[in-house]
Amino acid sequence: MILDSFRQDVRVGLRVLFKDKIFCFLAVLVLGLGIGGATTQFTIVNAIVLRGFSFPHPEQLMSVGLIDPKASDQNNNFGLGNIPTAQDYEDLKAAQKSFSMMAGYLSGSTINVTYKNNPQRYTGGYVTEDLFKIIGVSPVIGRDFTAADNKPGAEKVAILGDEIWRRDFNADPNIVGQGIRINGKAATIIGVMPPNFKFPISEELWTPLYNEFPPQPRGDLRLGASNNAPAVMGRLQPGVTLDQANAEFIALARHLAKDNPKTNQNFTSASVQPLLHAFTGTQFRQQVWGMLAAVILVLLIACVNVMNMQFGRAALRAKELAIRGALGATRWRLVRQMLTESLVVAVFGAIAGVIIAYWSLDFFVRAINTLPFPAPYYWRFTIDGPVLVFTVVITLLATIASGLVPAFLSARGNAAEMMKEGGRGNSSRLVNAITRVLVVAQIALTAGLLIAATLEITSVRNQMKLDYGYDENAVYAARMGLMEGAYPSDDARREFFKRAARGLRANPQFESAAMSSRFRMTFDAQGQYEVDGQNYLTDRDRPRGNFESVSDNYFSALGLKILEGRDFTVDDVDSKQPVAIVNASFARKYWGNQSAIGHQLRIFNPGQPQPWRTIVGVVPDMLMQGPFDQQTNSVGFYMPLLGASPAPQFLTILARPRAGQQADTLGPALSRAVAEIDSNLPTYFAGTPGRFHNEILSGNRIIATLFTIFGIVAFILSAVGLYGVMSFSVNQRTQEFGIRMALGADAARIFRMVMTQGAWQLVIGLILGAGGIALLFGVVAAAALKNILFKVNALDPTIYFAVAGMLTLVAAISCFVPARRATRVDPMVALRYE
Amino acid sequence: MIRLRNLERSYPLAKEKFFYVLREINLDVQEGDFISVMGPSGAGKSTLLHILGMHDHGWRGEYFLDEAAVHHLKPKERATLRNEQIGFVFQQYHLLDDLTVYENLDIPLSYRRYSKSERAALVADMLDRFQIVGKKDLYPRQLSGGQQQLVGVARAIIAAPKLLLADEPTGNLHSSQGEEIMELFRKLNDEGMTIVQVTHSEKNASYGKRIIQLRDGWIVNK
Repeated sequence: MILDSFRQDVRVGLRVLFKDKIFCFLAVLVLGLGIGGATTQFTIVNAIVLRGFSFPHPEQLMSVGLIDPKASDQNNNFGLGNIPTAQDYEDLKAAQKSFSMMAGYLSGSTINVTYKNNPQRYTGGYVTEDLFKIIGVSPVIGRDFTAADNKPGAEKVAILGDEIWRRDFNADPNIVGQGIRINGKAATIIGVMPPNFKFPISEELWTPLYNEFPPQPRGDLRLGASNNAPAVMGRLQPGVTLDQANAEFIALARHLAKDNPKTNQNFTSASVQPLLHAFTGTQFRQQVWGMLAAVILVLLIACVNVMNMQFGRAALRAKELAIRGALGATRWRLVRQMLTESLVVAVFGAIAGVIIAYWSLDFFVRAINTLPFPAPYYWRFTIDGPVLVFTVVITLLATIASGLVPAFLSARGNAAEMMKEGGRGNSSRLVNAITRVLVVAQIALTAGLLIAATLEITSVRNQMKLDYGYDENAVYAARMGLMEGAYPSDDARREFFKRAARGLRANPQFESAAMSSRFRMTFDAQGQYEVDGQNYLTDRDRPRGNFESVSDNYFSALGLKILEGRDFTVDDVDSKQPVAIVNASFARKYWGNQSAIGHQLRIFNPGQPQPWRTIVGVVPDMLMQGPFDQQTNSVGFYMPLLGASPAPQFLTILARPRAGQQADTLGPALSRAVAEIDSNLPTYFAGTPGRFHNEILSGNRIIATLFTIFGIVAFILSAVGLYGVMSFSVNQRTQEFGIRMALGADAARIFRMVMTQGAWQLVIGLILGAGGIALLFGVVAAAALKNILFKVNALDPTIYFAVAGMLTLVAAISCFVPARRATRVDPMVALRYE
Repeated sequence: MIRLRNLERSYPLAKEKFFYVLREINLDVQEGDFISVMGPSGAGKSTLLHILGMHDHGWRGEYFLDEAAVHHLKPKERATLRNEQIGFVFQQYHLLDDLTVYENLDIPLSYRRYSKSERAALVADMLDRFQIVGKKDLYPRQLSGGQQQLVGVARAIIAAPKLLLADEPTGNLHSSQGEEIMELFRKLNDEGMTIVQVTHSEKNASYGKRIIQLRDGWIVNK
């Protein structure tokens, strides 16, 4: 019975909708935009946060880290914690009972491979023997790692990823047992992983961790980036909860801190969290959820719009509903019919939305593929079952959100009065009040969204117009890794540095050449340091700053002049006379107008005290941490790379072209020049610093672009909504305007009346929207926003006023047309309206 | 007071063809007159009233109100003249639903140059005169039809117009309420107000001093 009447309602609904084509088109378009946006963003949330890994029982996989409760969130790896040394991992693993298995790994590492005399750099993973076992994935060809493979000194082995096996190893089915060189050492391929497997992030091959980086005894521990301590994961024992695991590891951390004060005294707590959280990061997850919230807002605005249109239609159809009521339809029956029509519109909207989602996901995936860092392999932006369920749910919610109130109100009309009134409709004060409130809500939501979008866009703009302190397009850079196999000692690496410096500078294509430890000419080290003459009561009193190891001629290669003192020379060797060059901010901070030359500084490392360095020069400020860090100021210093102890493994080489040549054309020349120095050494991450800086912001640009799209859609929807409501209101009040004119009101007065009504709605909406977002950004989420917004004040009044101005303009235009129409009401016609 | 000469009102039909609502209307209304316009539906009664009230501007001919040549006035000047001289009473009362009785009476004054205190005094006078003080805070839907029309008349005359135009003022009222309104009109006329009313009722027409019959847009008697 209900099904029959549902079918009938759908039939009637389709007929009515097709008759009212403009309403149908607008409503489907508006809902399509809203549902499409929400479906797209939910697909992204699903891929990044919800779907997770496809391994057996992924919910049991946890990350483990030790926490320094007094350190900042950032220094505690955003709450995930750190494993200070490989020995900590071994000690934790031996003592713990919460996990059935644990594994350690270094992901995203550079691994140099030479196969058939062809050197290649891959993104690889150094892993303990249990990594693949813990996730339950085995090689499809060959075998998994064993404990024996992982032992220091064992024969080196590697497992290939499917993609590089097909691309670079010709999909050779007999690949197992073949020899390659890994980081300059002979190795054997023992297996190939299944297709589309790049765990943990986007690794292309894997090799045992301890075989490459033997764990050091605690007495010889090095803290810092070069100690090769692994990230750690574990699989929870059945029946063990996350809380229990956390409690156990916090207790273990206290034991370690007590037993090993030299290395662990600060790490008195621990954090066990789902592994997926460790890979996506709290801030990023917040951003992704935040964007879903933004598109849900857009969908809400769309629903409000359609609701307003429904009110307009309900008023026109009041007589029809009254007749149905007079013929025996119950109120619930009328509500059901109206809701069914809303459902029909929403279903068409959902179909349009899914098409829009397919299109926008295609655009999004293409944008993601342009990122400098590959996205985790398990992110698959596909519209699958859960996404479609979400779409169905939001479609039903949109039906209710946009249709229920109009259906309910139009079904409660008094049939007798309605028919007596000749079908003018039940333009009750309640309906008018609701439509006005809806417009206020719409303006508030749009104001909030536009302010958020403008803040994000301003943040990205700030990042893009940063002054790095040198001409980023005047030099060419490339990265290289000097691995243990080919360069087993500090001396071997230092020797390479000198040969490389000589070779590159002798090349006629380069005006100058230099080397730096800076990654992609964007990031480098950051940490605490000490300056002579300063008193530090506790470890935490030591300031944080940026530091970088550079060769001689580095500053001149970047086109910078030494402000005071001298440049590094090849004779600046840490083991003889450690020296440093500070930047102008550093010199100014500690010595004001006095000379910094001759003063001393050193990196603070309680685990491995660093030598005091004598300052020999002052150089102009450069941006040393790229476009993300806003925690530290611009204070920084440089250390000599050629004489560094220990000599760094990874470095960036820089070449400046001769006059008249473009820096971005130097790629082939630089590759050839490096090959002449070491034919087995691949270069990677090659390009101008300008390109790196641009690429590194592509993720933020995507977010800003999405926010812009959401903002524009919300903006358009609001304009349409405001116009619709004002238009509806003017239609409803035609007779009133006629009476007022008959009683003496002139056109200007009627115009003012309509505009004033719009203005009130605008003002209340702006106050609610801007006030709400100010409260959210300035108080509730202020701390989180500090990491997201780059040099942007979340309460910047210019942004708030600009958005208010824009909305005022669009509201004025939206109200102008209906207001003009109101002034043209013919009193004679209006008074005969009934 | 009113002088109409060769006044015509038409609507275009097909090519260069017109449908005439009023034809060659020549009419003189003296100050203090009370005229009832009668005729079948579609005869042009309401149109004539709206032309007199200067709501309709699409006519040809000459229309003098006092000495003002309305046919030469611009719409804005006509509006000013209307606000100074004319009051309206409608069959459907046309009170504004969302305003109280007091506020409905205040509206015409708010569109004219009256100070706030003058408006309050005039509204109070009118409430008193029509004995509706007790109803000043009620909304139109809370009043009977007769009471609504009483407010409608009060509103029409509150700005002291010289001419009162009424379009079937008792059309929606039962007979006793209708009589009450017509008595009120007679009283207003006795006090010197010129009234032109459109009516279907012979009885109501008899309250007037003169009856004008309209047929198909023509005046068939005066």
